Amino acid sequence: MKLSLFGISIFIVLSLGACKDCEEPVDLGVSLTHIEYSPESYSVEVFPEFPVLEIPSDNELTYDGIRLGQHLFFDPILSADSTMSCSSCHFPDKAFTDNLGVSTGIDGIAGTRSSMSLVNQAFYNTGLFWDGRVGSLEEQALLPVEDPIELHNNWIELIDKLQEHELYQELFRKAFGIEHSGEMTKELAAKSLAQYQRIILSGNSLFDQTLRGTSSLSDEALEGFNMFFDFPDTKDAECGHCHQSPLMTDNTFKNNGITGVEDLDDYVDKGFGALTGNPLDNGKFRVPSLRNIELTAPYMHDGRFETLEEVIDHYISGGHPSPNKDPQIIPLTLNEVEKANLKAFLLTLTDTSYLDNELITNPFN
Amino acid sequence: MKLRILGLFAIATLMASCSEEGAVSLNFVGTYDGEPLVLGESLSYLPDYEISLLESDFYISEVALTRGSEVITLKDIDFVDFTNNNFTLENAIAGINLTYDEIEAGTYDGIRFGIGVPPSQNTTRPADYPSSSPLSKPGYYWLAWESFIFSKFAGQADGNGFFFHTGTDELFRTFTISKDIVITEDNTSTVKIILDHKDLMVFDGSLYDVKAVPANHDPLELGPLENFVNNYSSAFSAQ
Repeated sequence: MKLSLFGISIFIVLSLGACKDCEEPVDLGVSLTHIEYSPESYSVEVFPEFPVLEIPSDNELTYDGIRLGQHLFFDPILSADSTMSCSSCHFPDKAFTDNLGVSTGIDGIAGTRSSMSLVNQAFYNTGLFWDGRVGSLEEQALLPVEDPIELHNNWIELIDKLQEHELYQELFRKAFGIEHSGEMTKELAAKSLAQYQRIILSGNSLFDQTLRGTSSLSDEALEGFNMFFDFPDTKDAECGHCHQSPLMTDNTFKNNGITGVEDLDDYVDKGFGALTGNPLDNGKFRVPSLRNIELTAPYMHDGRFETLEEVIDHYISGGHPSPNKDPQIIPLTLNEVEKANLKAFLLTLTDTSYLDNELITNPFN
Repeated sequence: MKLRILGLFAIATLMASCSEEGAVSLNFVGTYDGEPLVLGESLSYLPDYEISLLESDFYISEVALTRGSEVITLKDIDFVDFTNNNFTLENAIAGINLTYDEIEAGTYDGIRFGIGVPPSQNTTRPADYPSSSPLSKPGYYWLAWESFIFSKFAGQADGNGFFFHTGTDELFRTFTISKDIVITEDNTSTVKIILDHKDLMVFDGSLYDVKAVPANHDPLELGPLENFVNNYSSAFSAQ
């Protein structure tokens, strides 16, 4: 009896082992080795006042990596019905926003949040999206493709399409040195999109040039600058608490008083709180950079303010009460001239020189 | 000769590896009037209004143990972040642990640290530091002062915001807390350091009227801010 059990066991083990050889062969796709792979490092010119650009060691920047990401970013192949790309909601000349209150995906479903500027995202190391739900550009790049209110595709079908596509076979090969089209994956696509987004930098505005001593602000903008950053002997507009130079954001999540609630559970969109589970974070959203603010209307995470004047008036009012409204949002007494000066300063934060980089603009044009 | 040198080197290495070292954990606990500080909860304040605190954090620097006149530096800069810790009673009781190791075993008589960024480092900017450094926080630098913000203390009084932001070399303070601390080999000694937030608000014997003066960060009006940073010495206690 013992012997027969032993025999059966041996038979089963051998059978299982033999089945390994019966597995369906992996479809490697077409060979790509005839395409030259000679990656060249891409060196980003970071503005001198900016923090060090920290690049993941497993996703160093290369020209071909960025080029692949650039193509994917502008290609409607990313959406289920091939009608929308990332660039449908992120226009380069609008600091990569879409000038809509909230964006609409391929199914015509409006989202609840405004399209974020993608400029200087490489330095947002405290969480991306309005609610900070992902920690890296590589993670971020995976999400909009499958989001039902954005591109509403699925990665398996998208990768199938890309593997069949001669242009992308070449671009993936050149970017990552893969040998067969079957090695094209969503992870590599996301890496390339991250590389592309990482080089979108803006830091040569009139404001920056003035700090460097190579240009100067108008008297009105200078007065606004002094108020913005609370220089002594000027009226304080309290802006710099959250919008600190050089990034013009403090990289945190705050409740700026645009929604009044009595109870922290009353926020319809809990924002950062939905991520952390801390009720005190409910209704908090990423403090956006004010760089290129001239180009990114309407304002706030839900696009509720059409103009900068409305934004300034909101902050002057001290915002709507709520238990976790940021303590720095307090009523201000700015007159019309001071408001105009503040706006004049905000308009000096525009810099779209990134559009001069052919690796950033639409490659299909 | 070579063998002798090698032998001496081996002995030296052995002695180095045998030196007795332990660690100390500074357990910072935030309280308000002796009770664990839970951010967002109503706190008794002046007779006509209550407050809630929403933010309390600060840099500590040149963290050291003392032994007589000897100062043993543990860390150049660290950050005590009650803001992202004290949102539940459980967290408030547990506090924040900052642990420093490789300390020679022995008995020490106190802890010394600065509140803020010392003048030698206050000439730098957040952009000078990698994101792993506490000094990289972009929201803790004030362009107009050319200074790091040393501490943030903020909340609401009857629904209205108030805040204290300290900074500039004039407001850097160093404190020594006397306490016998015994470091033993391969062990971590814990020192509980309590910061009572109500004590920070006592100016000239009475609580500061934060409704009357909600914004306190003007380098030209250092009075309230000096009071505030000086209060740390009475607001800290060690167990």
